Amino acid sequence: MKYIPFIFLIFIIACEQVVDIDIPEHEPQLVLSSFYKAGDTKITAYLTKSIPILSSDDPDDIWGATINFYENDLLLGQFEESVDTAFTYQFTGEFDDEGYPLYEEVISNILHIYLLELSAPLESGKVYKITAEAPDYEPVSAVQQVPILPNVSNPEYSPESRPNLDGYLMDALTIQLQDPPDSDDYYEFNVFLRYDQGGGWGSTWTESITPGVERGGNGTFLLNDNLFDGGTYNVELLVPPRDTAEVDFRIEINSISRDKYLFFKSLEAYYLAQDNPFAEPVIVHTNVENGQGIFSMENKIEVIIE
Amino acid sequence: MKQLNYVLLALAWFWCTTAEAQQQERYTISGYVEDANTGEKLIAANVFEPEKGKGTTANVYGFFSLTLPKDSVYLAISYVGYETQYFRMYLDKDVTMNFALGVGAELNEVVVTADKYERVEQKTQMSQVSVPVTQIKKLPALLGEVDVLKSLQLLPGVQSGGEGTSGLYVRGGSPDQNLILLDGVPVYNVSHLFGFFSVFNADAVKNVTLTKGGFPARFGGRLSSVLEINMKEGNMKEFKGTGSIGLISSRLTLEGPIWKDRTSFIVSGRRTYIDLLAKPFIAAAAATQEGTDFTGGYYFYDVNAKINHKFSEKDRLYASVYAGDDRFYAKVNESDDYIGPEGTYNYDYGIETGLDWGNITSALRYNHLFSNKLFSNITATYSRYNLDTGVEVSERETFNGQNFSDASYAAKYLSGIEDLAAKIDFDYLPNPSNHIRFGVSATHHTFKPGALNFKIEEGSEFSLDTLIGSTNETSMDYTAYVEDEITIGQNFKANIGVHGSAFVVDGETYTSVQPRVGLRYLLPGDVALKASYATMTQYLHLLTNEGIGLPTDLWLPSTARVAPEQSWQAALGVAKTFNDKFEFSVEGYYKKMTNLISYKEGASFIDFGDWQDKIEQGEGESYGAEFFLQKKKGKTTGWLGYTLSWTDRQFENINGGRVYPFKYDRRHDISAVVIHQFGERISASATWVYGTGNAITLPVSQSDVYIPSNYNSDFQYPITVERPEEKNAYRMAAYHRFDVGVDFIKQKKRYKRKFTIGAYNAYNRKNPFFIYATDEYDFNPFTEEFESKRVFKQLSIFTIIPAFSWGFEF
Repeated sequence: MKYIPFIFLIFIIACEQVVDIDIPEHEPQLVLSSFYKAGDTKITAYLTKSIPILSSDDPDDIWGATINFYENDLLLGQFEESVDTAFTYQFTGEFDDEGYPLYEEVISNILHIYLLELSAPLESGKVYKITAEAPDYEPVSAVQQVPILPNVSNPEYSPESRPNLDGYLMDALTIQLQDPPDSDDYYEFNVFLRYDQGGGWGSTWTESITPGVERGGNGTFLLNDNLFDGGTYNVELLVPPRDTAEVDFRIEINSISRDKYLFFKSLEAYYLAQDNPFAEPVIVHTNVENGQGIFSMENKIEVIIE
Repeated sequence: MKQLNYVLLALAWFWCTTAEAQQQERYTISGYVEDANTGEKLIAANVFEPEKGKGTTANVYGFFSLTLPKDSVYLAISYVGYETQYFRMYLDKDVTMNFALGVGAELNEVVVTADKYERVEQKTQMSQVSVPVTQIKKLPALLGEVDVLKSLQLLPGVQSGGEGTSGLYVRGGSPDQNLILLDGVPVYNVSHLFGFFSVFNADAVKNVTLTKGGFPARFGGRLSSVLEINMKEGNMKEFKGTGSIGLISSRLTLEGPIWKDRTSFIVSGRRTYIDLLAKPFIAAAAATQEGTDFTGGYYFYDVNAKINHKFSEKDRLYASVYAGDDRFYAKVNESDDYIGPEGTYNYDYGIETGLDWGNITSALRYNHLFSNKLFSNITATYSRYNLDTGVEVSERETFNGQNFSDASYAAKYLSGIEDLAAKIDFDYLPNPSNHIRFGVSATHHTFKPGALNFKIEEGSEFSLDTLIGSTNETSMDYTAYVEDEITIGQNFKANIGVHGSAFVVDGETYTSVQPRVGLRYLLPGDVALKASYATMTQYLHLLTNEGIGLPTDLWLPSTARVAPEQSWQAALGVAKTFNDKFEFSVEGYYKKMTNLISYKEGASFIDFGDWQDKIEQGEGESYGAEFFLQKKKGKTTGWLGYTLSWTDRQFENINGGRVYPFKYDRRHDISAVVIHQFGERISASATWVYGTGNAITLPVSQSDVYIPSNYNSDFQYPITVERPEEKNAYRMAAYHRFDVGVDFIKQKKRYKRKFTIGAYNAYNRKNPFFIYATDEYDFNPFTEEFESKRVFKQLSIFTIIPAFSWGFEF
């Protein structure tokens, strides 16, 4: 709503042209993606490369790299190369009896991934390091500490208790966080629902107007403890009204590392800026030294409201 | 407090050094200087005694006071554009005299000794420029709309924001750091049409003065500049009118005496009519859609009105008001009927959206002359800025005329600021060596930092009316100042003062003592060496995006969490007048700013929760040199300005905490303005501007990062991320533009008509407005596939735009 009249005006009188911008040559870097949580014993790393912005190449996976995983500089193991297959659905050109198009599953991509099976699960409070080396690239590394488990109490469900930002009444799921004192803590929330006891959990549209709670770039909600360091804080997550007799909710509450918080916060800002022609581009956070990407840790609990 | 002590000590010392002048028998000449034809007071007119080398300048109300030894005195009263008036008398008592100056023959170059007093080298004040409104009205203008603020963008040290916008970026500051005073009342949003035009109607403006540094103590509350705009008072002698019809707006100004030489009025208004012109076209387009009714448009208007009454030579009252609004609106109504075997089903749907914003400022001022040396002005002001944007949706379903569903939904976003203020100012002129100003003020601010109002009516079943968002905040702003314009001998002048302020908000009290010093020393060859130092504190913040003056920008107070912005600025320069025609000045400056605010990356005005969570505080600095050559007299007038400057910003959580160039860091900025009078009937003007391109952030690399799905964290999928290396690391292409305009004036029987034609961006330069990366697709006939190519695209607005207007004056 903010920009509609302005954009309307500009496009009446504006003209566009393709321009040459003198951008310094970008030296490709390793891009590491590694999201782990307390308790993991099998961990996966993805390694790709960055390419210049005007390049039409694909930012391919990097094959043949050496990726090591450490606990406090003690080598825990080296990742092994593996492949993962991605599928997509393709129209077969045929239709079923009712006239609906028929699709078949086809391989869309074969990913090069790196796997490591640990002898002991990742532990809360411990510091881990990941390094990656590949020919023709600068070695990269990143360090993370596994956050402690979040302290959550008083989960509540209040049907049709709060209007959302569009004015529609929503069901509210409330939890109370007990934040540890004297530390910077970061949280992530995600809500799932199922219709029948024992059925599969599915996602649900979720919103929040709790101060400090903001949407992250992957659809979850983020919160830091600036407003309540060391205290308790009620977080309210709003979902569309349901028939409560038939629905159960599951709330995932993650204590996440600062880097994961900054990564998804900046990723959301990045997405928002993409839709806004006047916004300054956002620099998506990275904690990978000499490279790009993210290495993050989290510690998760779940609350089920039946 | 230490700084305050130094200032008071300095004032005391200067007072003592000049007090010896008071030993002789002395008398005072005081009064007002005004325009002989209209009775308008002439702000900053010069009253000079050339034989004794003493003089003074009329204040903003045209009042002057000059104390001289008992003797024969020879006075020269001068003002740019007016015939200098001379007066000889024997001064053996205090006298009150008013002087009325006639408009000078602009074609003749009049050189008189008295004019020396108004030369740039005579003034203590540096970093200040006054642009005569007559000159502003002759400059070529975008779409023919004369714009006071855009003419100021042509001065050194002042930069525009985006193409065609009227924002002022003074010495590396942002637009909210400009104290813009209309008849002494702050104006918070100076933009019409999203910043493309300013709210000031040049027909109603008498005087424009911009101070970029060396701020006298009477000003405070903003870091970067003070822009004083004074409205005309209205013709005291006869009824007059001016008006014009232009491409996008028309204007009319009427002024005259209500009681000749006692009471006068002026009313000036303008309105755009894009919406009226577009109405038939919109209606025609809507008529092609059966069952759909569409109306929409955009307009702005503003009205200035002022009345002033002279009770006596010692008492005068002014009441002035400005009101202006912008309105964008669109309304769609749809109606569908379905006729079936059982009856008629009807569905009516309507949506109405609007964006309204506007200012009201009003001032009541009372001048009283306590004595011929002590002038006072009491002011009460009210101002408010409001933004109101919203959408309303209504739905109704009927079957055979019976309602079975009736609902309406409305959402409104409201924000604004409202001020109530009172102040009293004094001018005390005890002798020609001291001009002391002092005063106090109190302002009550009410901030409305943005709230959403939802209304839902769903028949009789459900109803909701709720307000979400920040609540109003109030604060009190107190100021007190004292300053003295001191003359010591022929060569040395100083303006020394102190500005104190206190800001009370939500139980928190901020105080500030701001010393101000301006010095001038006249070197041999009449070259003035000037220096200034000023500290400033700003308690109000504007939460805005960089570049576009959107009405959604929010004015907010300092709070316990958000500290006041502060700056100090030092400047050093020389100034000289050559051949009584050309004024030349060079100034170097350094400005340090702290506690600047900025949106956090990705935050925007529509985010809910506490606005304090959306901002960062950081610092900035700006330094550079400004060169200014101006010709004010003769057939050809104009100026040439050049600025060499550096401006940067640093915020802890922006750009990784590293220093980055401010978006409007402009290394080189050149402006050339020429106005030439060809006889009495034709005048032509041309401007050329050049500026280093704006700093922008562009991505330099792209990469795929695998992130876990929020549905199943074991599943990871790639997203493509484009990365800039540094904020504002790149430059758009240089900006340059040539504008030209010609006025054809003809005296008719009953009125004077003026026909203006011109062109904005006459050589059709495609200046960058913004640049973005996107994909272009080309069809490859060999592979028979579309191939994508990453490119940067530049959007340019305002390529060559012709303008014309027809005006009249009677």
